Amino acid sequence: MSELHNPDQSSRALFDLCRVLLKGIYGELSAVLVGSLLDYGRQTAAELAKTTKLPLSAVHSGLAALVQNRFVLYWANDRKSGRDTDDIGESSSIHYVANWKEIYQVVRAGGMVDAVRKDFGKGPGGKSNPESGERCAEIAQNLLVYGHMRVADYLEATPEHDRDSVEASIAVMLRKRFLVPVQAWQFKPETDLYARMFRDHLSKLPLSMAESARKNQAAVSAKTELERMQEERNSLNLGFVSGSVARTKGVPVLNRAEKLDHQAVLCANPDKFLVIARNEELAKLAEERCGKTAAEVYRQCLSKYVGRLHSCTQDTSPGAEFNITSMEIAKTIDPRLDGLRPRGKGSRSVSPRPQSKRVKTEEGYTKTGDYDEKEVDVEEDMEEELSGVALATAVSKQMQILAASPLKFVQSVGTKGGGEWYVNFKEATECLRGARYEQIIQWKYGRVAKRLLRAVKDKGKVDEKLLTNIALLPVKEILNHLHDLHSVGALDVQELPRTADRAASRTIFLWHHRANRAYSLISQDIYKSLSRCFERVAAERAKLPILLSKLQREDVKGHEDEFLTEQEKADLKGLRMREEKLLVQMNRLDGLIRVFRDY
Amino acid sequence: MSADDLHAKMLEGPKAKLFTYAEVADLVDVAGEKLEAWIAELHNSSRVKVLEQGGQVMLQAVSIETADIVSKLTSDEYIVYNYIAESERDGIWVRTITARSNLHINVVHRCLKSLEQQHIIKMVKSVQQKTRKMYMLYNLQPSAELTGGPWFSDAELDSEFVDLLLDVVYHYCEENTNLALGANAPPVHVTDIKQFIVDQEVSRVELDEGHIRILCEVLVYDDRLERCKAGYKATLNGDLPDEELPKDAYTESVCGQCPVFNVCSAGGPVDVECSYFDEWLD
Repeated sequence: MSELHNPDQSSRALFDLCRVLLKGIYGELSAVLVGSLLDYGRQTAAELAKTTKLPLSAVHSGLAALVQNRFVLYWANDRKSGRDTDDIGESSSIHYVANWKEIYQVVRAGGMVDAVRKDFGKGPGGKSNPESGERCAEIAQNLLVYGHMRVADYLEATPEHDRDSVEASIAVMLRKRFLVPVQAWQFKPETDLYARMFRDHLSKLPLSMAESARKNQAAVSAKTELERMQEERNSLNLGFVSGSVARTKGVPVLNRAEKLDHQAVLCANPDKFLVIARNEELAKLAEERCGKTAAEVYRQCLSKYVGRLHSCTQDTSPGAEFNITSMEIAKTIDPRLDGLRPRGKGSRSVSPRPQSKRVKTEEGYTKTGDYDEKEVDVEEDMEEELSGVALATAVSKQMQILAASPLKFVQSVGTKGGGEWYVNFKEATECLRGARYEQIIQWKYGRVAKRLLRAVKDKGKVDEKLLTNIALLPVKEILNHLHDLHSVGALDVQELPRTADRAASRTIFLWHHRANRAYSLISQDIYKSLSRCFERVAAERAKLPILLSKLQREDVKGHEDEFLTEQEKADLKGLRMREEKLLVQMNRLDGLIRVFRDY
Repeated sequence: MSADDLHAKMLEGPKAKLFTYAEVADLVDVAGEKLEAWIAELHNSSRVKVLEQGGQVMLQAVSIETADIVSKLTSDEYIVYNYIAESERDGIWVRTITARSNLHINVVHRCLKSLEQQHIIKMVKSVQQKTRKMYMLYNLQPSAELTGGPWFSDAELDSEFVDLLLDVVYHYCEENTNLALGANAPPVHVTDIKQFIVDQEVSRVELDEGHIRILCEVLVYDDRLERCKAGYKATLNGDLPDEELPKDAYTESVCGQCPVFNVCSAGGPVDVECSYFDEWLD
C-alpha cells in the first residue's frame, strides 16, 4: 500500500542512483531504458525505441531482462477497447513502468546474502554450520541476480549430487520466509491494479447512490481488496504442496511434513531482511544509549520477533502473539555476558564504561576512576554462572533500563514469566529516526544546532524570543543556526504578520520541525552520496582496464598468482581495497536510508 | 505641635496612603487656618504631595530624603521625576514619559539629562526591548523582567556563565546517576542540584529551582541528561567530547562533508578527479 499513501519518493537523486546502479551492474542498455522510463513515465516498447534511439529488438531484449528482475513493471491494454486486459497478444499494447523500489534493492543484495549466511550458518542449539550457511547464501544470491526462479528449474540447474540438500535448504528458507513465492500481480504497477479494482467496484455499485458516496465506498473496497491480495503473500503455506497451518501458543507454525512445491516461483524476500536489519539497528542504538549489556539483552529480545513479523510495516499490538517474557530471553542469552550478574552493592560496574569515568578533579569533582574494581573482580570469581530464575531476573533488570529510556525501546506489559515485554516498533523506530537525524545535524552544524532542533521538536512551534529562553542562547547566535537548519529542511518557518503590510519587523516567525520533510530531504542527499560512491567504484575500475580484462581471461582465472606481474598484483590489491571501502560505505549509507524510509 | 509632627504622623501610616483634609485634621487635632498654614509649609518644602482622587483633593506624605531631592528640582523635572518614581523597578521608556506628561520631547530629554547628572535617576537597558532607553530611580535594582533574570549581564545573555552552570549541573547529575540500579535508580532531583550549587557557591546571582529546571532542560536538549520520573539522570555519552561521539554513515562518507556537495551531480565534472574522494580513499 505504501506507494499509494506515502508521499511520492521519486526524485532526481533517486533516479540518478537507479541509473548508476543499473549501468554498473546490468549494463548500459538497461540503464538507458530505465532512465527513459523514469524521465518520461510509462511508455510502450515502440515509444521507448523512439526516445532512446535504439532499435526495437534491442529494446525488447533489454526489457525482457528488466521485467525478469521486476526492475520494470508492465501493464497491458486492449488496443481496440482501451480497456486493460490480462491476456497479452497481438491486439494489446503494453506499457512499461520503471520500479525504483526493486532497482534500489540492488544496493542491499550483499547485505541480504550476508544475513542469510549468518542466519543459516548456525544450526539448532547455536552450533555453527558454515556449510549450510554457504549453500543458502548461494541460493539467495542466485535468486537476487536472476530476480525469480521456478523451484524445478533451479533444481535442474544444480548438479545431481547436491539436489537433495539444495531442495532441503530452499524448503527451510521458504519456511523461514527468507524466500517467498512471486505472484503474477507483482509484475504489475500497484497504482494500475488499484485503479482497476476501483473501476470494478464502482461499476458494481448502484447508480442511485450519491456520486461522492459511491466513489468513497469503491475506494474503500478497492483498498481492502488490494491489501488482501498483498496479505496473501504472508500466508505460511504458500509455496508448499497441500500446506496447512497449525497454531501453537497463538503463533502460526507450519506443519513440518509439508513438501516443497516444485512449480512455485520464488524470489528473495527483502522484507525479511529489513526486519533483521531493523533489529540490529535498534540494538546498536540501545548500545549507544543504555550500554553493551542492555543492548545484548535487547538484541535477544528483538530476535524473538524475527519469526513473528513478516514485514516492518506490520501492525502489532501487545498480546500473547507479540509479548516476550524475560524467561524466553534468558533461554537464549549467554549467561556469561558481562554485566548481567549483580555485583557489589552500589558499585557502578554495570555502567558500560566503568573505568576512566572521571578525570576532571578541579572544581571539587571527586575522582571516581577506578571504582572498587579489585573488590568486584574477587566477587566475580566467586560467583557461579547464573541460570534459571536468577538469569531471568538479571534480564528483567536490563529490560527495565531499556524501558525507562526516553527512546521507547520497549514497554513493560506484565509480570508473567519474570516480566513481560512488548516492543512497539512504530514508536521505537520513530525514536531511532529522530536520534539518527539529530546525529547528522550535530556533526554538520554542531551541538548548538542540535540543542535548538531538539528544543523546537519538544515545544512544537516557537519564536526566537521563546527559543532564547528555552535554549539559553543569545538571539544573534540562534538566528544563524536557525538559518542553517532551515536551509537543510530540518526546520520550517511560519510567518505570522501582525500588520497588513507584512513588514519583517512586525512579523512573528514560528519555527517548527516537520519530521517527514526533514527525513525525505536528508534521504535525497544520501541517495546522491550513494550514487557518487558507486560511480567512483566504476571510475576506479576504469582506471585499470587492461588488468581487469586480463583477469577475465579463462586461462588467468584461478591462476592469478602465476600470470600477474608484481605491479599488477599490487594494483589489483589497491583496487580491491578501494572497492571494498566504497562498497562498505554504500552499505552503511543504505543503513540510513533504511532508517529514514523503510522501517 | 508643628508642621514637622504632622509630617511624621502622616508617614507613620502605610506607605503612599492618601489623606483627606478631614483625616489630616484628625491626626493632629488642629483645624482651620493653622492646619492650612502647616500644609502649605509642608507643600512648599515638597514634603506633601497634593493629588486628586475621585474629584476630591488628597494629601500624601513624602519622605524627607525624597523631599530633599524633589525640592531642588524644577517643575518640569519634578513631573518627569514623578513618572520615573512611579514606575519603580520596571523602569519607564522616554516616550512613555513624553506621552503621559504632554511635555515636549526636548524638555523631557533636558530634564532626564539633568536628573541623571544629579544621580537621581539612571538609564537601564531592557532585555526585551534592547533599543529602548529605560529610566528608573538611581537607588533601585532593575527587576528580573528588565534584566532577563540571572542569565543576563548588561542585557546580554552571559553565555560563559550559562555554560559554566550547565557543566556544573551536568557533572553533579553524572556523579549521582547510579546506572547499576537500572530503572529503579533514583533520579537526581532539582532541589538537590540547587542545594549543591548554593553550597559550592558557583553562582554570584541567586538561583531558584525554576532556574535550575531550565538548566536541566537545556541539558536534556543537549542530550546530556534524560528526563525520568520526577527528576533527571545523566545519559551515557553525555560527557564525550565532540570528536569522540559516534559518527553516522552519512557524516563519515565523502559527500557528507563535501563543501561542493550541492553543485555536484551524477556524471558531473568532479566525478573521477574528485579530490575529496582521493583524500578519503587514501
